[in-house]
Amino acid sequence: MRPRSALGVLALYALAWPAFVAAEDAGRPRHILLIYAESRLLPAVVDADAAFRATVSAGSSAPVVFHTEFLDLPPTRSATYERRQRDLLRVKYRDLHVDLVMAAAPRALQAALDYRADLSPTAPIVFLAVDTADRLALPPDVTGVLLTLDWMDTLESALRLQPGTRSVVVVAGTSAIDKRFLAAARAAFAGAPPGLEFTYLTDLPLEAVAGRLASLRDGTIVFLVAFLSDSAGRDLTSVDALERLVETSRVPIYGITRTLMGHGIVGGRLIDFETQGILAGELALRLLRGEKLGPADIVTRNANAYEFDARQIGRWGLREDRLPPGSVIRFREPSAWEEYRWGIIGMLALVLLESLLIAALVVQRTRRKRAEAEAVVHRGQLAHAQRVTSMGELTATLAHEINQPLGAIVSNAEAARRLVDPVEPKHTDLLETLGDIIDDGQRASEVIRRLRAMLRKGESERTACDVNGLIVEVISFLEVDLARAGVSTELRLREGLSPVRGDAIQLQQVILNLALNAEDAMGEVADGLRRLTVETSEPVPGTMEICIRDTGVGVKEGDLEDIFKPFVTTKTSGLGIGLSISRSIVEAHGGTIRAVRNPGQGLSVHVELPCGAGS
Amino acid sequence: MSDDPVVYVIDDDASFRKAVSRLLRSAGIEVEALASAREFLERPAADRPSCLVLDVRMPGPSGMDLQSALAEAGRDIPIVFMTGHGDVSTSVRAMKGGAVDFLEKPFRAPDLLGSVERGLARSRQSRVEGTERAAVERRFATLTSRERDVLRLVVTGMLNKQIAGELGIAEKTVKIHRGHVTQKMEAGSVAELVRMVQKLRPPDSRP
Repeated sequence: MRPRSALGVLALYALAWPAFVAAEDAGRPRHILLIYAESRLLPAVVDADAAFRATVSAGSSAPVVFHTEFLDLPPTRSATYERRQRDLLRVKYRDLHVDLVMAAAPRALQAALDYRADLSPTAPIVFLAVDTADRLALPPDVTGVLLTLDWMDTLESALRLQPGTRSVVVVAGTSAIDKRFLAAARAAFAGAPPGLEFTYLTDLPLEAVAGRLASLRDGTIVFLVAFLSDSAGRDLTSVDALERLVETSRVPIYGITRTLMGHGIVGGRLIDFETQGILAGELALRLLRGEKLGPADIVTRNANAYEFDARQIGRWGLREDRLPPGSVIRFREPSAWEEYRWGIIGMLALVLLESLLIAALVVQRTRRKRAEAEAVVHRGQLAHAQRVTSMGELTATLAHEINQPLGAIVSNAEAARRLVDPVEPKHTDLLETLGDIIDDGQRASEVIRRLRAMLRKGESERTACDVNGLIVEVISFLEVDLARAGVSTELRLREGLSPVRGDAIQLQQVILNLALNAEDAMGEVADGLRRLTVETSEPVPGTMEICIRDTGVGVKEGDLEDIFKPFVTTKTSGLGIGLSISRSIVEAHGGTIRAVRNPGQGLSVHVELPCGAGS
Repeated sequence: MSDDPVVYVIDDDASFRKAVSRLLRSAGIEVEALASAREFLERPAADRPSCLVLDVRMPGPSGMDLQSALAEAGRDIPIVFMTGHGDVSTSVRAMKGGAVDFLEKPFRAPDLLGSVERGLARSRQSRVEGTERAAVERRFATLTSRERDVLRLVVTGMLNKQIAGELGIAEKTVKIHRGHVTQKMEAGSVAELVRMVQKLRPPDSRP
């Protein structure tokens, strides 16, 4: 009974063990041993390692401790070395429970399998980057991610990009990996299209390879297989080698590992060690969670993607539209537009805005200049008209004043002639004298008549005039003048006045004369009390009125009629014909003009003109 | 009622006024010289052929003002305008207003005398017309309303029969009315009746 019960207890213990483990599971850290055959800084190793660690750490509920072994195996296998290494590792990991082993690349997988019994007999193995897994006899608890080397896919994409290719130069270094990859490449290229000539540059120093590539013919492409060391024994990475070769190569270089991307290869169907790391990490997580995975779970899917370097495509003048569908294009240099879009938009907006501003200013300037030029011309016209009408008024007055006595002289002579008895012989001389007086009187008046006719030439041009517009124009001419005289001007212009049919310049003369008279009349008035008001209205349809009001010295009641007579002036300067001219013009337009004393101070001159249908 | 014509010379310039008056008088025309339009308006209208010799530009009411004032008052007096300086628009206005002439100073005696003669002739004519119209109006006032109806139709050239039909009376009655009309209007013929009726038309409807 006792041994049985002891067995029973043991059996119970054994049965309880997994449960016990499971219960303990949550807090216990998981130990993962990572085994790499290659040197630590190999880009492929760096990518895969980082991706694997990140994937596992992120996905595991328990803390994970990574132990990494870079086996650094000698170029040729050495049983002694391996034995000693195995002993060393056994000592190193003796007290550690390894939950999982990750092996990267075939040689590491081989070592993991070889050392397994000494290191961690129960830990499942996950591998990555192994292209020969199908040829290995794997135990049931080994799984991983298969590596596909897409030599042919890459070659085909190269041929699509460069249809004229006749020969392919395959470059590889001298390391074990280089040789292994080269062998795979050779095997793959055996199935290449028949017209292609393959040249293998191996077992050469890097410089020699570079020299060869510098003299290649057109129609050639280069395949960089792997280049971890050259025949001179230099330790390199494929990236180092590529960067040197790209400097001199006359033709494009292709490769199949993503680690080369960005260092000079055009591209290809690239092994992505990062993806390898992620996929292996996912398998590792499943194993850590207690799933049983074996060779049947090996990820065989080709995770390699077509990737190309836009800069190389551009450099060699290749066409992007010939790339395999779904290709990833790296290092596409963003166009200036893509990179500086907002800057450019902002700049353009600024330039546009500035241009608009400049254009607006130019237009404004041009307009102002034109307006100024027009104003000068207009002022000239007005001044000329003023002179001509002054002369006209002068001669008209002269004609009136002289023709009056001339008329009397002639009429008297005529009367005398009729009173003299023509039959009386001694009256002959008298009659002749009277006749001469009459003739000379007529002659004198003829001189004046001719002068008037001359000054009347090109007289009046009647158009429909907007009187308000004429007023605004005249006042704007006088603006500076009025301001200097300390006169404040107010315009009260009735909108929608009917047009006056008349001579715009003559009407402006009237307004000008009246405004200037008003200004003169206010010369001796105290500052601040000089006010000119110009008002328009249409008191009855068909008649419009302009009223020009000042706050000046005014005119005596008895003189109101006389101020419109020529040569009547209250001013020390001036001919005294301004108002007389104004009256002539207004009357010629069928209007009237009159002056009225303001109730307070100053004078109002009212001009009535027929307008609209009335004119 | 006198038939001796009178000419009013209106000018503010005394010496000119005197000279023109003298000239007119030398032609045997009676002249009254006035210094302003206002003076003329203030005096009663003379019942004799008359004519104005009028300066256009004068202080106070101008010659043009006087012309319109007279037209408004219905005083039909011919005007000869004088001006110191010819002004086309004023002369046109004056002539449109019915002026006889528009003379520029200094003018020759025949021009003035001719114009004045025409003015006086027009005055006489209108006086005669005025007298005749007054007579016709006086006679017309004596007609009965039926007689006036008959007269109205007679001057359109209707026959007695037609007039009877129009008025709804016997032809014989028309004949009697017609006799009365001719007699009362002192007309010798239908043509004379027509002339008289034309004079009866209100002045503003004259062509």
